[in-house]
Amino acid sequence: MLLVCTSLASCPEPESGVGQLPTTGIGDDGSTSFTSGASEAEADSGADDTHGADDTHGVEDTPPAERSYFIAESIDFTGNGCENVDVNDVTASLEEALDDDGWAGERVIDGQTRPRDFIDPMLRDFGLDDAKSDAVSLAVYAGHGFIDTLGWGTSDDAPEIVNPADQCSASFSDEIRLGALAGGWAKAVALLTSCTGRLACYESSLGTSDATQMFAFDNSPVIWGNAARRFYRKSERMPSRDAWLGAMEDRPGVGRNSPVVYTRGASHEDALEVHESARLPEIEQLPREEGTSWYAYTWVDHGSNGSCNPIPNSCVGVDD
Amino acid sequence: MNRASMLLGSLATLLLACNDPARCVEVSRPPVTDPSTALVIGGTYGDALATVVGARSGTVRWNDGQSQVEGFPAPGEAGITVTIHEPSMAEQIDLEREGGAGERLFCPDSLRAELEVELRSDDGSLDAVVMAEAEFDDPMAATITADVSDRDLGMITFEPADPEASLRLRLTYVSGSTAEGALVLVSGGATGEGSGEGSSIELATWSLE
Repeated sequence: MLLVCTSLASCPEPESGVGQLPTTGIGDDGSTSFTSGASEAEADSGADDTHGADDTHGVEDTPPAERSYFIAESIDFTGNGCENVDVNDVTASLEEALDDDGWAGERVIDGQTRPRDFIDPMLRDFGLDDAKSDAVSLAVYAGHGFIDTLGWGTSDDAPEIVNPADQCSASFSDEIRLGALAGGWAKAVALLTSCTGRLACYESSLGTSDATQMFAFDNSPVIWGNAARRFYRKSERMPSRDAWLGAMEDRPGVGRNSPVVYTRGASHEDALEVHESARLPEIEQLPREEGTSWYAYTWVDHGSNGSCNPIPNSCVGVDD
Repeated sequence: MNRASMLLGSLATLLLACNDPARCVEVSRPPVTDPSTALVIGGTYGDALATVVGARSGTVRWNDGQSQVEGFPAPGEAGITVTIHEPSMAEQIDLEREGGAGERLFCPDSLRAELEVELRSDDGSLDAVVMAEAEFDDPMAATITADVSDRDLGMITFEPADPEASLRLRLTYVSGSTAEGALVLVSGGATGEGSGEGSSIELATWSLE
């Protein structure tokens, strides 16, 4: 396994495993097709966006471009209704790399993105994932996060968003279904947040989505601004699994991050094969795995996941 | 501010994160018993109770899991009624973030309660009363779970091929929407050297109106 240890600190071997998720899948209803080059106004998914109010989700079956992306990033968490610590920009360089390689997509930041961009309209009426994160092959979210939860920096004050939790966050267990339900096109998902990849809760959180590969963190990371681009570029010459672990364990300051990669497959063998070979720049070769149940995972345990507590009682993990 | 100053500022922020790790600290709150109590997750305790409490009926589908477990019905369908009783109290989990500049930690609030859940299928296979943990991240939606491996479930006897396997009850309730439920066989675990494998199979699934 190719890994790069860039400090004098110990470099533990990646830890791997395979498992199986619930075998009852839900059929694909298609999605709206993805259009590149959206205007800023179109990209803005704020309160004026009424897509979630219509009844057209899933009526179009046109797939998105094989190399299509949706990147949402929250950087500014001050004075926008979702107070938290501001964080650094970690996806601008990734967008540049993808565009240089001919990918089509959009990157929306701060007030241009809301939790509903990742929420499935078949689970919540106001969800927009079929037009945003689940209308493309690669979905990325960067910002704050916790076990089962993504956190945004700007509140969604649309009248139909009545619960505070939905104004600033989205949860995997009951609101997010990437690669499934409405939309259903996301094959790879990268989550540059704290704790969303926590192994202790995988089956009840990320495992409820059907995206083939999910890249996340088991700890509360600090991330270099160019780490996502490094991940993408490293994936050109090694499996995405190894590229993610190598690019993301490096952490500014003291300590290391604990990145984790999950891969789904139709069987134990399929999951392992894709897990060990898939490369993000060749995403067109990544199979869609909707309704499959097996998964494989690899992570590097650098500790420091104490921030990812308390663990919800409803969690089911990889070693349950 | 020039680029050098911005860079130094960012580095200072990141270095601070090293010395003061981010963490979610729980703010102590008294148990909730009054339905009119406003919750940290929004709405009232009464809203949360209305989301889950009561009897709801639908159809249970018994799935084919015979290679994994004995003692379950053959594949088929039957009527099912799930009744959730009002808890005597609930606990608010009010989390506040401390420390960790540069870390990407979000601290979500929630409401937790222990619920008495009755499960009865018309074919007599499932006839049980279990205590389950409910977790709300908003008052209109709850995830309810329990390990029922050792519970008396009625005619069902849980005899997994893997003696280490467990049986989990999972319910998802959303106010004004269909409620979903499942009995899930979870098995496997670490096999050493950081590796592991297992399975998670839905032996029964249901929707409730």
